[in-house]
Amino acid sequence: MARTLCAWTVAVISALVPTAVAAQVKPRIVAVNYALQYFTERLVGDHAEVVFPVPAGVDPAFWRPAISDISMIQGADLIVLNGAGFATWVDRVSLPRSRLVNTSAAIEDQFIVTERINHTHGDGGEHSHESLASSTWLDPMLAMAQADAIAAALIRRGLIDAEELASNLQGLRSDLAALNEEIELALSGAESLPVITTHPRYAYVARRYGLKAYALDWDAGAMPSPDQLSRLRTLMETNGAKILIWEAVPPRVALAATVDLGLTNVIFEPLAQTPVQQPFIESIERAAQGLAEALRGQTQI
Amino acid sequence: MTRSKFFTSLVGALVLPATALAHELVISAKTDCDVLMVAVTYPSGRAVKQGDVRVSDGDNLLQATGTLSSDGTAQFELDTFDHSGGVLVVVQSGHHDDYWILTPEDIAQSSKS
Repeated sequence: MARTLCAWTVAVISALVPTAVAAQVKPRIVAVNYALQYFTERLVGDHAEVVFPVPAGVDPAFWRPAISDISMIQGADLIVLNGAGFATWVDRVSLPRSRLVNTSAAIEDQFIVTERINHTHGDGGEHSHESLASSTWLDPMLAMAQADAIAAALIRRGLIDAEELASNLQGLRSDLAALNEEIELALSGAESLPVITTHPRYAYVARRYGLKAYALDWDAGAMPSPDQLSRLRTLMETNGAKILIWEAVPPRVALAATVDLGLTNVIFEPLAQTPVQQPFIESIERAAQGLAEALRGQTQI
Repeated sequence: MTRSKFFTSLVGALVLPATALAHELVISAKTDCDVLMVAVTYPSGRAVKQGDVRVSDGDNLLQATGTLSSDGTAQFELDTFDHSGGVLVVVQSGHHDDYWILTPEDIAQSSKS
């Protein structure tokens, strides 16, 4: 009985595959976050459909896909991963190795370790956990390396003509280089100034531009609890920070509470999820300008 | 295939890039035509000796439950539940829990091999 069912399953799926292929007009590329979707779209143009499968409002780092989502992803022509421990689901499914690209493989020596804990519980004996900062794309220079990796994968998979890709890559690299220069200019003179971030997503951008970032771990756009505000106050007192970076616009009362503490609020979308208002480059530009204005208020730069 | 050989082949068959492992279990699962086989380790590679296993279908409806053996594996007869829409395997052991997804295509592929 089981063998019969098994053969039946194989036959049904085999019969469906040609239909799915025939119906798919363009190659499909899946990206694990918005930033990688943006880079891939810039590179591949209209030669492929670039899918970012995580619903709005869900953190792509911790998205738990449905079985049907994984079926769709397994069928993609290219799967664009971030690496650095981003997107926990990729370790919990089978993905076709030949169609994967880990966009941060070439920059692993630049990863930032955020946490290392040794502990014992259960029957696991003493063991350690290590976390990496995963928002590599917020550093335009690391983003450039990730774009290079995507470009190489597009060529390897034959998804775009090399000449056209070279032109698209040059355009994207140029925009990222300009973004880097713009941020450097905006933040010049503000190096080593302490800032507090509501989430530890800004490690790479802080390192690139010399900011001293102290991270909390708040939910994006949520009202902080009294305990969280108390922790914020302690952080302010210990490091003298006067700027608070939010991932998303929080409730008005939250902004008022932090202003009362003497903080200047800055919104800096981490761009793992699709931004609310502007695409990648413009979104970071706007955040950097907001940060520069806040820093200028403190340092008169 | 002996359990130890199965365990070794299952862990070795992972086709994923190396990533940072946080506070989690390492689950892998595969099927042949008759059986769903689950293997669970800690990130260190040590087998998880105790744990509850829940198997749900493509509609996220619970289809089967079981416990891990001392070698960190569990097996389920496939003809006892609907797996045509794929399966979601969730393992909980102490404070650790994690999951593995098998799509209909995964199941069909392992049936062919």
